[in-house]
Amino acid sequence: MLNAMTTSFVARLRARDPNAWFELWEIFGPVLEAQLSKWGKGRIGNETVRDLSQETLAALSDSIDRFDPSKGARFSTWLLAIAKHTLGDEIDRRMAQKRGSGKRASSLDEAWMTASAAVSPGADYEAAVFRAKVTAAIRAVEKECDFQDFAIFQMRVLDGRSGKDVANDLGTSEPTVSRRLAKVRTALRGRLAEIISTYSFTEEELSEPSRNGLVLDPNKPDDALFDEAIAEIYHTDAQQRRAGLSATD
Amino acid sequence: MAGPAPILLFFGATVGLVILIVATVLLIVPLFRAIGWCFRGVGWLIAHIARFIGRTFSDTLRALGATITAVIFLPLILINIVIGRWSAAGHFARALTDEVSSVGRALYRLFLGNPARLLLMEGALEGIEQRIPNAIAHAPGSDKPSRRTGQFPGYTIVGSLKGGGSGGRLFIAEPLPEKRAAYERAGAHDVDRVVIKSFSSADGSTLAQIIRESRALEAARRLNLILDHELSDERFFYVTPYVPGIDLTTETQRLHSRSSPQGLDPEPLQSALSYIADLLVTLDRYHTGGLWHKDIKPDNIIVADGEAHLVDLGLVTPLRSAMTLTTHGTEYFRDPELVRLALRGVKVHEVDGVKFDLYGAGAVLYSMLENSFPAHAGLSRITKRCPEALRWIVRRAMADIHQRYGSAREMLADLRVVAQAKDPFALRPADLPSMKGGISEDDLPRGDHRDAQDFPDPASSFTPRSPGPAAHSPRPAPRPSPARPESAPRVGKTRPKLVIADWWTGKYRSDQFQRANRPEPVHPSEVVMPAASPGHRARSVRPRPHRGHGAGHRPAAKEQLHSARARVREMRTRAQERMHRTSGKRLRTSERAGIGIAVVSLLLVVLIVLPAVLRTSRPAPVAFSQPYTFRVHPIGMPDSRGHQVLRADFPAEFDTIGKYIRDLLIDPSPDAGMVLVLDSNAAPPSEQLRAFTGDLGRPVVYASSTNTSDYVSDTFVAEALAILGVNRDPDADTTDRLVELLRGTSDPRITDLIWYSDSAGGALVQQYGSTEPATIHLVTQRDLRENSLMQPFYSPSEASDRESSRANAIRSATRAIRASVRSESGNR
Repeated sequence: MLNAMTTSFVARLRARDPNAWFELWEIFGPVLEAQLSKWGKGRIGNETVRDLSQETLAALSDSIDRFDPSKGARFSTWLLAIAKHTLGDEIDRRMAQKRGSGKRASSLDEAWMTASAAVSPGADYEAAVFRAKVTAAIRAVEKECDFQDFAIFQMRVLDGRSGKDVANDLGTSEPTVSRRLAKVRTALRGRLAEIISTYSFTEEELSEPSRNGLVLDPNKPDDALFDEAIAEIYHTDAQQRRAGLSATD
Repeated sequence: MAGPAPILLFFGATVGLVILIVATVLLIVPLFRAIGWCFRGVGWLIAHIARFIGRTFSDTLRALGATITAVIFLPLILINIVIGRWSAAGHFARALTDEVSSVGRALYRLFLGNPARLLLMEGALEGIEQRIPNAIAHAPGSDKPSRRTGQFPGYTIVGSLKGGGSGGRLFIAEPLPEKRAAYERAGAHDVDRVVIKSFSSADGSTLAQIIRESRALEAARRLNLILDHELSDERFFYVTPYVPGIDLTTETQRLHSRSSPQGLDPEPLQSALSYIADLLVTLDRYHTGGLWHKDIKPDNIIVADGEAHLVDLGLVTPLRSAMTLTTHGTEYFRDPELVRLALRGVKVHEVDGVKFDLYGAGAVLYSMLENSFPAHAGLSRITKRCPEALRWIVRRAMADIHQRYGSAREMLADLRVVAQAKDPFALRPADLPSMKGGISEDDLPRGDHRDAQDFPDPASSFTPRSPGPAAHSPRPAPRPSPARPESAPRVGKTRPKLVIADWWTGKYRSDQFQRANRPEPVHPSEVVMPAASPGHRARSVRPRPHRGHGAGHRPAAKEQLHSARARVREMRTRAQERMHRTSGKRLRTSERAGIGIAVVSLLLVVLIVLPAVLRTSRPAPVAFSQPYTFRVHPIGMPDSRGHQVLRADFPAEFDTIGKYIRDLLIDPSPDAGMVLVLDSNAAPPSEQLRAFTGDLGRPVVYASSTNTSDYVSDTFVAEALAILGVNRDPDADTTDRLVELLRGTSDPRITDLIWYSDSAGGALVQQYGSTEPATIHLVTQRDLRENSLMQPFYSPSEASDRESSRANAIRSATRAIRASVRSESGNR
């Protein structure tokens, strides 16, 4: 059963809201690029990978009209199925070009819509999709928070610096740093809940944050764990993104 | 003493047993572990050898298969040559080249790559497999322009540079004495060598690239960033002084190679800061001059003699341009927010382009500190050693657009504090001027961003220097330092709104004037028109009045009006002189023939123009029969180069184009702008064009000519004048005004332009496209005939603006495509 936010997002996609498409592209484009590079095994270049990831989202415009949320597919599976279809299409097109003939676009296998789809995304891919959601939440918070508050969050959580150092650098007191950090943390929890709700189709996807140490309810004892989990996810994402980029470059 | 003996014995036995067990465990565990390692090693070795065998087998088959295919292609090529099917022969020859290339690669892997990998010498192959192809890909082209490109009058070509993504070719040239004299007169001294950037459709430049560059040229001329330019039917080129040096990417690698792996050492760090300061000074100059560079990245910054120069004017855009924002730029150095805004269809003057340039500057600073690009945009973390204050500057420059530095000077003031600190690592972000509650006048650099010891005069960065190592690149032209305004607030959102007063006469008024108690409508002739004349050959660099976008420096409306009137008078005089020069013979004839000939001429004009006017009001049936192929990216995402691409994949009908354009442009709202339809195929404009543009619900103006090179001919102008309704005043002044109106960059009335031409690259689009008064929707017959790529000049925002209607068009096109494909498959 889909929640209201997901339904509304899917409705925006169906209505061809360009911002919804861009949102999707901005958040999951890098994950798709990495996955397509992995599948391409070096046979497709960097530029093609980027074009294909765009084509993947373009292919969504067709599939979104036929999407049936009641069949239990995960959001990540949905993305992956389209990506696989796009890549297959591209490879077929190339082979057909080599033979000197045209090729009709293959029809999308919609078996992915069921929970027991043949498309098995794999743990790495699932983790990458989850990290993309967390990173999107951090970016959203960056937009809504005061610059200094967010800089404090970056210095304390993402850079792992002590409260004392940060307070010294900014010419303020430690309690102020803690207070401003708490403000950003609260905003981040809210945003994270929102983004996870929006980009999740199943209960299992909704429970991913708690499985990864991200307790979304404001709870002082869990703050340190929350910060640590955010930092770990952010660093892994940055590392993977860079590794993916250097692999395709 | 029999008692303790058994106890001791038992104790000893127990201890011995324990020791034995421990020793056994200690011995057995490593033994098993060693055995495990051995098995693992053997397993790895077997897998390694198996991989080698597999690769060898696969490559052998591949080489064999490619050889057989190549052998099959050979007779096909010969047969096609014999029967005169040249296109088919070329097609098979290209296929043969691919197969030969496959054979070569397979043989390389068989005899070198795979054996080297088997012997774990993979590192030795890096040079062959990566560095050599990379170096080949980045090598400059031919040192001489091709015959198709032609020679450049007044210049001797002495070398070439690698072209960028803009599609142009770059040549290094030495100006001949007359050119040097012209430069001297224009105030550009000691220009020994120049860089010529040339675009030619014969050399593969697309119309999009030519138009974008020529538009950038128009903007760059205002800052005297170019020395010379020429535009003809075949090509377009412009000339900038040349600075020898290396790009900032290479310089960054060099600085890091001189430092420890932890990060830049103090001395290289100072150099890096100095380059960024140079960049910021240059950016400030652009911004003060009302321009936005739009492509800040290390590859566009050339370092020569310790100074950084910003090059590549390909995307330069006026900050107050009425154009729709596009997504052009370079990924990782372009703010993602720009893409988001572009997709929303925002106009350039509605955003603060300064802040996007500052994001680029922050990304460049990041790349210098980290020796890598910011893969995570604003969240990218600097992992190398770096002063905390500098991290703060990067963060602030790449922060959300609303929280970023407001100007290059603000960022430069922060940077200057870090650069001048005795120990930058001891400096806290709290010590930066921007953190102290704003920037004082003392903090702001005035034209000179360096002090005597660290930061030399930026003006000197525009003086040609002696040749440096390796690469060379063009750089901006010398220019007298402009007077720097004390403050430069953006006034983009206060752009005066022009209201059409009378569609028949073309009069309009400005609500700004109304606010200033000037209710009388302003005639188009009284409005400032940019002297956009890219067709003039070898126009020398001439200082132009400063057009800063700061409100504090804008003259009063009355002064502007006086100035505009004076310019219009001057233009009118020039136009009249030109007319007398060009039609002197005819005038003399007219004088001899007297008033009778004049009356006959007038009657002839009426006879030509009247039917055209009548025809415009008569709808004609649509008869589209040309097959056409295209498919649209349905979501309006830009491709990797930032273009919107309509791609030819499947057959469809020409009426799809008509429907597409109608859906895109239909707008019955009273605020909708005028659509200008130019038809260079038929005079009067073709019925097809009229049919699918006749019911847009907004004003549509047609102009046509059968001769593309004669686009400013009398017929063309007369036709356009007639339709505009100003043909009652057919003197030279009106003609001139119309041409200026069409070319004008700031005329807000025309918001969309449909250009229908026989072939891409015609003079018409080069002339009008160089100033691009509106979004251009290009329909070419050649595209239709050849079913080739269609390059539409509409911006991504168009897609977002009219997404739903466009989606409908796409859906119907897709249905037609599929039906057509199905029927074709059925026929086969």
